Amino acid sequence: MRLQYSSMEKLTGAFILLTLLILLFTVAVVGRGKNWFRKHITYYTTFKEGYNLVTGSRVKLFGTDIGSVTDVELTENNLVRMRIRVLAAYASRIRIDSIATVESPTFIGSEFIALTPGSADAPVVPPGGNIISKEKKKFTEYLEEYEFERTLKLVRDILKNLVTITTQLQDSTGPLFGTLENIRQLSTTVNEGEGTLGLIIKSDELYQNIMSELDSIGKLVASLRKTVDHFSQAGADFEKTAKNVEEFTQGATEMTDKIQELLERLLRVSVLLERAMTDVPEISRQAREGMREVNRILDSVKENFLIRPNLPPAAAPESHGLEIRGDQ
Amino acid sequence: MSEPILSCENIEYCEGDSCLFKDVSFQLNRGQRAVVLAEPHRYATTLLKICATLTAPTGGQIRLFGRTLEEMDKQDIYEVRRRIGLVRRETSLVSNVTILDNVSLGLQYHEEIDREEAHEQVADLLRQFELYEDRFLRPAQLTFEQRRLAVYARELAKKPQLILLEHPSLDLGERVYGLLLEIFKTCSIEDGCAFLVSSIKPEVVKHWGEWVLIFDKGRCEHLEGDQFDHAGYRTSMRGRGAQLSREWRDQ
Amino acid sequence: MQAKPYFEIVFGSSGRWLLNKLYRISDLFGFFVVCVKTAFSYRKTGRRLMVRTTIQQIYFTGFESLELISLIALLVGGLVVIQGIAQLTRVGSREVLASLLSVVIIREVGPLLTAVIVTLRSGTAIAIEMGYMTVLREIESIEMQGINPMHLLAIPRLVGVTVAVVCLILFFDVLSMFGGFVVAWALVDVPLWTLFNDLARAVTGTDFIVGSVKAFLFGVTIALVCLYHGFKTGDAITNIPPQVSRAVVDCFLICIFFNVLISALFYL
Repeated sequence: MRLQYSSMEKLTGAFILLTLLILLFTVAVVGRGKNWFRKHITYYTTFKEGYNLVTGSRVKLFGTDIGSVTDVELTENNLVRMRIRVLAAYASRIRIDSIATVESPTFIGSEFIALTPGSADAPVVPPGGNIISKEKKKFTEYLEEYEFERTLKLVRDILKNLVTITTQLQDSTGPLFGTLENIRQLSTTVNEGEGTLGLIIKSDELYQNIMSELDSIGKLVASLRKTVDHFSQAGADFEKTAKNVEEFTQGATEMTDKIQELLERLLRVSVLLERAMTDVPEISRQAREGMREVNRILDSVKENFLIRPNLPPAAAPESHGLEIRGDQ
Repeated sequence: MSEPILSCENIEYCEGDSCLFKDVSFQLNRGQRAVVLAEPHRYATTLLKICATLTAPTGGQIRLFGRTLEEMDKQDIYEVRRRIGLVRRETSLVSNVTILDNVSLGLQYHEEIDREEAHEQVADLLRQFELYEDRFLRPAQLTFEQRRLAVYARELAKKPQLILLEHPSLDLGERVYGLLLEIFKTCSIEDGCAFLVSSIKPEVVKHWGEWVLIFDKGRCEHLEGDQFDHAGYRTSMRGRGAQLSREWRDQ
Repeated sequence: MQAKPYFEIVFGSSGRWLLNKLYRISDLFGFFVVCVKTAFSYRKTGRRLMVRTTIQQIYFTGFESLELISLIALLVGGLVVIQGIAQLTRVGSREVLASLLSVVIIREVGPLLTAVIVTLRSGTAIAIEMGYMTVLREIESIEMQGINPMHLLAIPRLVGVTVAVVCLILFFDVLSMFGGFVVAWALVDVPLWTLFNDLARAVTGTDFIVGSVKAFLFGVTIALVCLYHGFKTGDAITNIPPQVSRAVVDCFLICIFFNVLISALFYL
């Protein structure tokens, strides 16, 4: 046997060998990614339908791939029997009370078998054993589950109410605009010094009178104290009388303090009302903005294909002079 | 008497309506040498190709080594070709391998031996043909004469029993032609090789012709070597040449 | 004006063109059958010489093309990833980069581009070599050595080119992946190992089978078509260039046809 090789033979040999090595490496890498070389355990599960499951469809546990469907066949009693291959590492979690269901990330397509792990005390399903299955819900069943019609009706009622409220709010004789008008009138009256509150706030003369009367009461109290001092010396019979007078004087002093406090409060109220009157136009503008937003929402809600057919007939527009004047 | 190596019985070769030759019959026995003289030479070339199984005759029967062509399948024909050495003027060497590989090609293919062993086996032959020093060169690196010699060497390397040669004397110097004659004489006498040589020169009959086949205007004449009149043939050819040149001049 | 001759010319020439194509295709099939028959009937003859010639062919077609294939593969891999990133960024999905690489390169571009390179580099060489051997009567010489030229010349080239193409396609795939990874790593700053894992998940067993089938068919096609046109050269040296040109065009067409056919069979 000739053991001397030309450089061409050596290079060609190296080329072929390198190719084989690359092939092996690639197979190893891809196999690792595909779990080709990991031990799998086969189980069976049966459904009433195939649910578009095919050989190669994924088997998942908690949404994680743990295997695949290896065969789909129709049994004699018209059931669909799936042979599934699950990674041996996860086989201990598949117990006899584990349930196999068919799920899909969307309503249609990409179906996979989702397994639920069984309870810890239940025995493990042996290799080649059957896993209990639960049928996949149909679309109509999903609709029933979520009481879709009832929900739709509720939404429709809510929208109806919203429309009514908005209409009432938009009404110039309605509660919102009535309240705003009352506030406006009240503030005008107070500003013009009409009415009791207006008079109290606006009349300087009354204020001066009250203040002078208070001074007189103060002087009177002081003279009474002097008189009492004189009479105390005159006899004990007057002691009782003096005590009563003293109590009266104390009561009068307290009354004076209360009146002063009341007047200060009135002054504060007057200032607040003045401020409130300057805020009324701003409140009115904000209310208008709010109304515009509500209208926009209503328009978009009306555009929705689910809502549009269920809307009540539109009421005839009523002019109240406060209609929203478009975008300004 | 042993089976003839080559036997042609009434063979003909036609292309459409025109026939190059008809009813050509001859036999070539072991160690025998024959010459084909033809004018035009195309007749002789076609006959050589028919004898080498490269072209099939349109009529008649050819028998090689005791078997007719009809009896042979493709594999048998290749086996027969291994026993025939054919050197035409156009025959060439395989251009992308060395002279050594060219000459030992048949051995390497048929004998299942190592390349080096095949090279050793043809080394003597290359020395005989004075090609040993240039054995590692490719055909394009040799002179025309050397290439012709390499072709002869390649054909002899397969130890043929029948050698078909076309114009062996052309393109070779006297010394080299003498060398070739010596080698072929040895083959004929020692190995019993049969030779069929085609030429346009009547001189070759002196060296190669035990009998002569003369094609002239479609007619075929079979003569024994000693019956062949060199001078007459030459005169006839010269006369024909002179006539042709006169015709050309008149035109 | 006579309409009949005009129609005769149109129909006649188109019919002739079609028939010529059909003859060529049927000839190619015939040539393939003869090659297969020869390979089997001479399987025990001249094995050492055949093995040596096959090794030479693998060396010329495979090893010597490696440099060119590597360069093109790296660039193509990078190119696919650059376009992939540019397009996928718009939809915010760079995760499908590995899938894109596997789909574009392993399934389609790798085999086809390798076939094109081998056709241009080795296919033409084979057609020219066979053409010259035919014209210069070298094939006749080989026949007179008792050697079937189909066996000595065609089979080693057929086997050699096929093996080389299979190897080169694998090299192309791996190197273009590498080129793509490097570009992706540089542009997107995705860890190489992540891309590697993505790719391992994206490549399927079918991709392997399809790649192998394509490689085998492309190798056989290139060798067969170029040999056929080389042997068909005839007596004139001026026939060689048109035969080589036809060989290249036929190789492209047949390879693309096989590519579409196999992709349709496996992925539709």
